[in-house]
Amino acid sequence: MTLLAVDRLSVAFPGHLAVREVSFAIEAGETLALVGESGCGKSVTAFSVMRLLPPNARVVSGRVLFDGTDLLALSGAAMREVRGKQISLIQQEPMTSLNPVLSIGSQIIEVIRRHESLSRKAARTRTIELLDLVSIPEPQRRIDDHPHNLSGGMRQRVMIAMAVACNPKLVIADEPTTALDVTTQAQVLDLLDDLRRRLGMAVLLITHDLGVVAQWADRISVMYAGRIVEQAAIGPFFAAPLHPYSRGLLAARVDVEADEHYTQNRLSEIPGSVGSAAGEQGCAFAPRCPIVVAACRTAPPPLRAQGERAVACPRTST
Amino acid sequence: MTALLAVRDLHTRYAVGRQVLRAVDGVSFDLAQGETVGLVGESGCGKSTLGKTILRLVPSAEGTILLDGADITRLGDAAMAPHRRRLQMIFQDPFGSLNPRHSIRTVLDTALKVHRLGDRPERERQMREIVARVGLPADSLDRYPHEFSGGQRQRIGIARALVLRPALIVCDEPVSALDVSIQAQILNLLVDLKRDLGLSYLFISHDLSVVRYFADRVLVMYLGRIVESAPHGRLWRDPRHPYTRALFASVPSADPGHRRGVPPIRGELTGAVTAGCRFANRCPTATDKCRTEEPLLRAVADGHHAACHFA
Repeated sequence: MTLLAVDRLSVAFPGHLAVREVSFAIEAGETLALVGESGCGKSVTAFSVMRLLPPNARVVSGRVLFDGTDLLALSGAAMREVRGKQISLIQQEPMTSLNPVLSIGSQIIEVIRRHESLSRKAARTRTIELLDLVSIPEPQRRIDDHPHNLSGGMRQRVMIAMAVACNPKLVIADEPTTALDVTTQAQVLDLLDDLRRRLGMAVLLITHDLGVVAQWADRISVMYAGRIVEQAAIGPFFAAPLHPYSRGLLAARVDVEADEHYTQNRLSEIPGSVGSAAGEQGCAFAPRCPIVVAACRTAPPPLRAQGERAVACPRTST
Repeated sequence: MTALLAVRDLHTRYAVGRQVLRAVDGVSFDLAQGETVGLVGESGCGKSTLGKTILRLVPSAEGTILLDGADITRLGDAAMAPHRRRLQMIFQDPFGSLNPRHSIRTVLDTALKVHRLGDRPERERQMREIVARVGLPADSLDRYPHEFSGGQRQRIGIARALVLRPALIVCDEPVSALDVSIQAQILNLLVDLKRDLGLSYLFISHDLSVVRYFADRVLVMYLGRIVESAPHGRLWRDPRHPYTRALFASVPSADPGHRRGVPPIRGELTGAVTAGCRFANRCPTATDKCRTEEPLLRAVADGHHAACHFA
């Protein structure tokens, strides 16, 4: 069953289109990874779904269908019922998402009582259960701690507890572990994945790390300069990425498993930078593409289905 | 042969309120001419502080730093100047370390002037040469930091370090802020520069994949101490310290068929140093001995040292 369907979404900032005709769907209970480099529009896409765009951004066209309802057409009040209850957000840096002068418990209780008619006492009991659920030791004592008392990993666990407090159907996790160490990253992503299964949530995982995608996602959408260039299930994608940008990304990545050393081989590069996409009439990746032909420079290629996957490059085929 | 850099029992302490934080707590290692030493560990382990202490950007509390056999640990500014030229640095965030009001020419020329390297035409020649060498467009000298992309800014940071013709560059997370496609470009550039100019690097990073590719020898740091050191091939084939093993096991593989097991360690690095091994409270194999007796760094194989009773 399709839970979220983003349909030809375009979002503009003054002077440039950050998201261009983006379409993707998330099935109930699955993890979709939205992958791309900084500035590719992945976070703007997520904020559009939450209707949390900055004031200078504008949705130009498209729909965001959640359980069949277009979120972009909802009133502010109706959207506030969705946010935090049906869809919740986990951001990269928990220290800036948590209020430093309130205890973590009072911040979670606030979320619960905003959406459910629970007494303060019942909400507090529920919060202790939630802290226990996200494996924070001694939750009865920790509930009255302030964010600065906790380590980065523990703060991110608090954010997860807050995100799942009202049993949402969809959690959007925007670079949830980028600020964390690798040992903590594995623990936090395992926790999120475990909760997804137990609570039956879907997860939109926004990340730039292909290792994280390979280990924790079911499907991947790759973005480049505001457009989705490839969509696939994880297995086929990592076995054989199709779009030249996806191939370049995977090749440029230094894998810890690979026995590579600078004395033996050079790293594969994607030449140039994403800045070259500005002003490009055709495919945004054309200025950096190793298999570019003249036809690529005329119009951006549409995302076309190839069996179970989709690629926005006419020069690739399975 | 004397090492290019020799660090002996180095300590750096910060005052945190009334407490003393031992950020670097007795570190010793050598770095040979032409060698790249990788320094890895989690945030807060003291790896950046170690780099800054070696650069003399923060004062050391105890120990010695020898550059080409000369003790630079407590030199005054004037006496330190000739050594500074040979000891340069590249930072994580090139934008944060470049003055937005200075053109690239000002950035590079200031460094040359401070060290009195050449007259005006000679400095101009050197600047043009270095800009071309790091792969920046020829007209870069008259442009300002904001006109460049993240990857190009890091090339400017590299140019600034190189223009003084240093022997050793301390690279503190030089590619961590860059996108994957740009990371590879910068790492390849650093490899080329090392080969062509005979540079040595102390390469500080939290990213094990990058260190695995880039370092000749690796130091693993935990709570202010080196817990394992080995030539790169050996460390990856046969890590001995449980912390090193845990770090390796935590890096997600880009092969979805290679499922990870349960992460071998729980919890996070905490500042509390108690008796015994600093890693004992997170170690999956800790015994009573580990909680009472601190393991010292000892040889476990040729060139391979580990600070674990059971390594």
